[in-house]
Amino acid sequence: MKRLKFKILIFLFLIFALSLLTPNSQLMTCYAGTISSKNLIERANQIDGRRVTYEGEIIGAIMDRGEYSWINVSDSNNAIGIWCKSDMLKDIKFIGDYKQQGDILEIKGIFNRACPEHNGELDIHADSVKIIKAGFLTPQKFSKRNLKISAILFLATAFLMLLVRWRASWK
Amino acid sequence: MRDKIKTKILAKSVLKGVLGIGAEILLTLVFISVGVVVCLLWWSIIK
Amino acid sequence: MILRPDLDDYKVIGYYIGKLIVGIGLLMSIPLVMALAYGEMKPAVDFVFSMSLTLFAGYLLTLICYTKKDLATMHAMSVASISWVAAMFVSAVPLFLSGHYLSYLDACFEAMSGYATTGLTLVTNLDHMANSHNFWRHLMMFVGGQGIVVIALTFLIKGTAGAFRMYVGEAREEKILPNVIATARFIWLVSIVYLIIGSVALSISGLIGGLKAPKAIFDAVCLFIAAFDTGGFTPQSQNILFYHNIYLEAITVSVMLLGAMNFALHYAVWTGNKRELYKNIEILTLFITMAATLSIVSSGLVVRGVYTNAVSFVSKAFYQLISGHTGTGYCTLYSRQFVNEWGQLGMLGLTLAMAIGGSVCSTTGAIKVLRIGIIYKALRQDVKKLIIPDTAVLVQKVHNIKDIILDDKHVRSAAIILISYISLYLVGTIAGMLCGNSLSEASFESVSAAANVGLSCGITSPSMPALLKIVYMFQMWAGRLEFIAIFALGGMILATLKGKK
Repeated sequence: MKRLKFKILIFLFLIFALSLLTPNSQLMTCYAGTISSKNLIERANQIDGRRVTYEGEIIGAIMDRGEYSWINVSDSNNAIGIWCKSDMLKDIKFIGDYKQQGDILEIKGIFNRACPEHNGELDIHADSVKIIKAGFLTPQKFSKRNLKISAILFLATAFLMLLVRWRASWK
Repeated sequence: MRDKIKTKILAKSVLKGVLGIGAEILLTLVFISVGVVVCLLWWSIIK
Repeated sequence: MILRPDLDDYKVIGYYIGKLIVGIGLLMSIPLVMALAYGEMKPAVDFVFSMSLTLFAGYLLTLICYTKKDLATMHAMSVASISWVAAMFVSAVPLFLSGHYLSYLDACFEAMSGYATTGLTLVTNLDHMANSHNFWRHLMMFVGGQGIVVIALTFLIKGTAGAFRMYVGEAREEKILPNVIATARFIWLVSIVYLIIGSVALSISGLIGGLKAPKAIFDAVCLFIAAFDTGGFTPQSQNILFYHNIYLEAITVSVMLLGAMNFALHYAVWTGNKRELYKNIEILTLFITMAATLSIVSSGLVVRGVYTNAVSFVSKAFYQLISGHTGTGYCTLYSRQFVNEWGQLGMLGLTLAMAIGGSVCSTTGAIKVLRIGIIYKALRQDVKKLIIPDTAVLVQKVHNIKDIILDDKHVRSAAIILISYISLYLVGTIAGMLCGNSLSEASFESVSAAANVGLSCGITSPSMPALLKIVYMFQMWAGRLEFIAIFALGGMILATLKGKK
């Protein structure tokens, strides 16, 4: 009985010690799934140089630099620069801007807090780029009511202009 | 004759302007190089 | 005894504000044409609506307050200060209609930030903003950088004595040319010439960096405007980080420095006086303050070991410093990296650089290097006086375009502005700390707003308290106009309340 108690005590102590030794336990969990841009920026020091999975919409443009290309991928909080082989991007059809929602990509690669190769940028050097959801054209709608109000206001303005002219002719 | 003088004056002032722009851009390059030197100085002193 | 202003006084002010509002309304035709050219129908309707509303308001005010009187100093100063607020309210309308701002207050913040060439932004989902709306943000910077009154002087208002008083109210004490209209035109000439050179250079760097031609040109124009007018808005949410392009960064550094130069200096150099470039007190002071603040930043970063190689270190430290010192606010870091990685000393160096700013009569904000130079010279003169014999007369000269004998009145006006700026920085810092931020973060953000810089360490976001938004808006406004016009407006309000008939 005494021995069992002793064993339990040692077991508990070991768990306690282990928990002290792994202060980044929270970090380990976020590896299993994707990591957010907010976490990448806030915990850059801890994640620096590790392999991460990041997800988001491609925005702006693909910047072709020959064998490699730069893209920027936004998870709606921040956009992160991704350095990848140009042929990884050949399937991308939609790039996010005003008129379209860009393809959603899953990026796997090595995260750098201050990449020595790219003038200290915070970036991900991608091993793989996968399209997980295709983008689409954003429908364009405009308010007819606003257009009507504008027409009335323009007429009123024209009338006011005439009144100002007339007022200016007073002695 | 008068037109000739006018064009000459205009050409002269345009040339001055172009040289001025060149000088200003050169000054910004001097700024950049001074900045780089200051940074590297601290890098080598403390590192 | 203070006299209470009568109806005629208010009418003069109202009339000229009306004219300026009409000017803003006409300006909206530029993004409207762009929206039509890009086939952006909703933004086009937004601009038609905002334009009609603005023109209506402007003409209504002109009609109600119609007068033929010229502006006295008090009126002109009040017009200068109120017109910036009026411009903010009307210019925020298309921004708010774009749906990229959570509230009208946020849109007003953005408009003030644009006009004051600050660059702090509350936009959401910027990467999906229409080109025309995006261009409107940058156009506001162009207008604010040259000065709303300068625009009006060029197109709308005849050059009277009152017009010059308004121009002074916009923090431009120097008449570069004898005539105020000619001065306004020269400011435009410099801006347009550099717009062409800078946009071409930035477009080429964009193309080299792999952008397609239409995007490279659009972004180049936007980036040039915001760099030369030391504004800091960018077409993409990542700021300059979006481009991953060292050439583009180098060109923007040059443009920011050009924007931080005095327009009178541009005039001197463009008319053949190149010696001015190395004799001018502002350029010399800028060299010294840049080297000093860069030293603080550099030592802070090297001690913390933030960057592992020298190239990364130089490009990051120098870029943020020039961006801060010239009051631009372009950034090659994420805002939280200042706090998480740069640390207190790095942030302090950058905050000091932001607090000093560029030249007077340029598009920068903040205390400005001329004042720092004058106060330093005055200090040196006082120390010298202690050393030399009592009977000797000491004359201290300052060279800004021409030699000026340093007089107590120069030192006095420099000191008043210096103290006003320090108080303004302090107000924002206290407000920031009241909202739960640390001293280093609150002072960084406060100086950035009041000095019209636009670098952020993460406090400025759509979710920040409304009180802080309003404080920052006030700081941007007061900082851009350099106080005098705002003191005059305060005096006018006081006279209305307490003056005798």
